Amino acid sequence: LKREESISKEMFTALKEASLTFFMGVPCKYLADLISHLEQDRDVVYVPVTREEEGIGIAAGGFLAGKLGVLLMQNSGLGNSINTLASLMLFFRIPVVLLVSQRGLSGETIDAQIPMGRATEQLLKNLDIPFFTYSRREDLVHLKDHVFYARSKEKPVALLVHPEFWG
Amino acid sequence: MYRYDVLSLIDALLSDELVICNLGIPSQELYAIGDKPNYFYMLGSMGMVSSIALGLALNTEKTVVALDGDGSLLMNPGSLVTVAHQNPPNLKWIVIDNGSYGSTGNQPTYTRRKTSLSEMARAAGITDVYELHTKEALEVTLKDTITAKGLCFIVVKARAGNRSAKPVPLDPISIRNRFMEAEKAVNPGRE
Repeated sequence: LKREESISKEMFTALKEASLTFFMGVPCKYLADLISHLEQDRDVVYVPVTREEEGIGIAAGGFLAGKLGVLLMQNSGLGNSINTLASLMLFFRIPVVLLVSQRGLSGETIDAQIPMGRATEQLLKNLDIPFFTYSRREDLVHLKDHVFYARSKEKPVALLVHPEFWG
Repeated sequence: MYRYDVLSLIDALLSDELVICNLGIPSQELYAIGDKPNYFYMLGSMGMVSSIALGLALNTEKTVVALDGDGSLLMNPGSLVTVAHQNPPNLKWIVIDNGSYGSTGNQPTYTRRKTSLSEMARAAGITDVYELHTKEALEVTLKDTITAKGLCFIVVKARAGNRSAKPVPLDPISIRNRFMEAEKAVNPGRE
């Protein structure tokens, strides 16, 4: 548990170093500590949403005022967001960072997560949304570049955080 | 009152507020009434109008007006809960409730039967809620609320029916860019 707390803190620090201050999210057990860090930081806005698609819309509104948003969710939430990612974000060229807790991989204890786990990368490919895998804490050194990619290309990017990342 | 009449009155009473307009015929009608750079026409992503408006309101000093519809709100009802709790004082959420999916042939929505959007908003935790039936009431309420501080949710009951309007002849990037310019123009000191 100690290790999990500290990797969440490292992720939090990396997000802040990438100048990200506007977050939306639906919880996942792996994201719980990261969400706590975000909620406790006075320079950060964290908006809990009822459904992931809503978070995409809120991120779009933030970008219209110049703010790049981050949506925290499980990959099941990607399934809830497809149309808005396509007909709002890609169509209007609006970036968002999707911080996705990748479920349904080997070792998954909830069988119902497996179909979306298998579909996630293909869905992102079909949408032409770039994705990057985070499976070790060393992967965090690339976070700034991945965020820069979203900003400069003005399109969504997905950070697929695998369970082993959290230790 | 048809949707077109409601939009005409809103357009006449607004000045430089940032407007997020629901997709389909509502955007086409608003464009025909009086296109402005501070009007964002959604073009797609049905249901997201109040979410876009919320994200904007949380990040701008300006007043934000969401022009929603009953069918659209019923597609994203969770937004009532999120907006109620975020409670941005610069957000005015107007729902033109004509009991119909107007852009697809006026098929009835459930608000034509038992469902009350104003009751749903109150139950979600929004306190400043209006349900209006006449042009006069709309005019008075808009004048009172648009420039005042505080989140409000206004349901305007309207008759089903569309004006013949053409698709918004703007490409999405132009809509986005000129809207962002309009937003920046009022916040010159922002990062």
